[in-house]
Amino acid sequence: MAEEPANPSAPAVVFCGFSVWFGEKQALQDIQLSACRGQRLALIGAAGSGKSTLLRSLNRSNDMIPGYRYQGSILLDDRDIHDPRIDVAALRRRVGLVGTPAAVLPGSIFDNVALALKMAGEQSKQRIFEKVQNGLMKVQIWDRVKDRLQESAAGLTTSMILQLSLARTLVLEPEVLLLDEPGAGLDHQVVTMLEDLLEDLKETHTILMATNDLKQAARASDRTAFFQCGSLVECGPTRLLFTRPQSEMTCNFITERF
Amino acid sequence: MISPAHTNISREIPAADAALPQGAARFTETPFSRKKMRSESAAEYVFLAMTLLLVAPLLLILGYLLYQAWPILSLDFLLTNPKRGMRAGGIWSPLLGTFYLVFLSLVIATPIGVLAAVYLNEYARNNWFTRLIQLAVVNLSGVPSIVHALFGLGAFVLFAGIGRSILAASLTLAIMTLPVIIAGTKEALSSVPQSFREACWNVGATRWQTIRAVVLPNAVSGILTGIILQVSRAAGETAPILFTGAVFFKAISEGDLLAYGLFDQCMALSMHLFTISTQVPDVPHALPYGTAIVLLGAVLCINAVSILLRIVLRSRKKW
Repeated sequence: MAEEPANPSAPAVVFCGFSVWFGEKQALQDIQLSACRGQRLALIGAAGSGKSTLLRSLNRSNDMIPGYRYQGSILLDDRDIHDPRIDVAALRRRVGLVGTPAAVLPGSIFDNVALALKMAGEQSKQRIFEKVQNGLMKVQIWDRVKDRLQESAAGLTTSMILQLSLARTLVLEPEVLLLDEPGAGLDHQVVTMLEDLLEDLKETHTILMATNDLKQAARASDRTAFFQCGSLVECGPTRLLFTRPQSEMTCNFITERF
Repeated sequence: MISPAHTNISREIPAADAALPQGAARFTETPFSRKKMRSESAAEYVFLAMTLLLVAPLLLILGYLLYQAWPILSLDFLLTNPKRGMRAGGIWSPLLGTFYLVFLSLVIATPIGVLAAVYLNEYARNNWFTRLIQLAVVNLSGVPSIVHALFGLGAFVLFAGIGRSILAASLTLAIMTLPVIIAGTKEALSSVPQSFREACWNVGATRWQTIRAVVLPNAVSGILTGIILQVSRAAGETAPILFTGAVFFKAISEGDLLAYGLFDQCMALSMHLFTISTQVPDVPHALPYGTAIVLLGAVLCINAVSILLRIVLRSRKKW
């Protein structure tokens, strides 16, 4: 997927009139939204407002769901991601999704991260080990798991599973990072670590984060988009949206009078 | 003037207490709790009795067969052909025939069945075509074996021109076992959590990579179970091989594992048992029992190997 370097100020991800249906039910309605490199975009809204659907559309995870239908387009560096010539597997490596609840794969802690590299065709054991180590260090669990890399990952705590699946996504060096409710049910330290990490990553990545935690959105984002019932109500700089919302609905939501 | 209201409240509490039946403190027995405990223990005994009832006939059959077959059981019995119009000798020729049939039919049916199930469970979209195929699979597994036999005769022996042979009989057995292998494999595949697949897709794995790396390794013990069940079915069925490749009598070189060729006809244990117990007069008493116990033993042996394999695979599973 080597392409000419994209203009850094141009939006990396653009939703153009994007709508989604699951069967008869419309999940997203005519979304106009863009996210730029160097920015963290938070998606807020009540449960079922379409935040996750939007994230999952961006790496085409929804394709596997029966009854999924879309209209409009999503551009990633000016290329339509639904273009039939696009390699979906390569797209998913460029657009990393950390889902909720974070998934743990059967197999050891090491395999959980190494799998991503193996799937991408990396064969050198040396390089795989280095990258896994690097990834686990980035999410700050290397020290805690380095002595039990071959143990099953199933026994890890929720926080560590999130860190593991974040590492699994990061070793592929994605350009766009999608986080679906990171922080739900996690301990404070991990959330802080995660938010610091996003701060560091935003220089080189486009970050979209769906969150139920308004404080997290206020803390850890540059722009915020508010969704309700599958529609985008309002999108703007985080500080502005939280202090002077344009819409009555946004105002109600952020003051938790929902 | 505060006290009346106050006393009023304090009076209500004992009144509420008195509303409970006499002696209904938490751990005291009541008729209801005694009844519950009685039915609880009764239920346990009934279930235990049913379980014993299930095992008892099996043990009785095994014991009776062993008792009757004991005088004749020896290595010689396994390794010699039937002799003197099947009134003496051993069961080498049918034993080897059964192994050929079971082995070959599984070699044919397993890859087709497992791969078809992978397609149905992992790739197929939920449309009328897929549903039709699944309906066909379910119905095929209910088709009586004699119907499969006729199909095998028509399709393999006559139409394909293979003639009555081990190959034709194995193909017929494979057709018979295929739907059950597909259904079992599909069940095993769908029990692998969807989140494993999604996590794998999310790191840019293709469907096939996901299946190979995550789905199949976690479904393999279930798949094997489906196949194990078919071993005993393929070994025990008489009807499908009756028209397609089994013969009444055939002598082969004793102790030679490669005595049959693909296009030879063969003897089979199930058919041999039928023949010597109903068609041939004056067969020594122990001979059919010996044949039966060997048939049972062979099936158990194959099952044991598969079960061991399954245990090994399952112990490597880490979730």
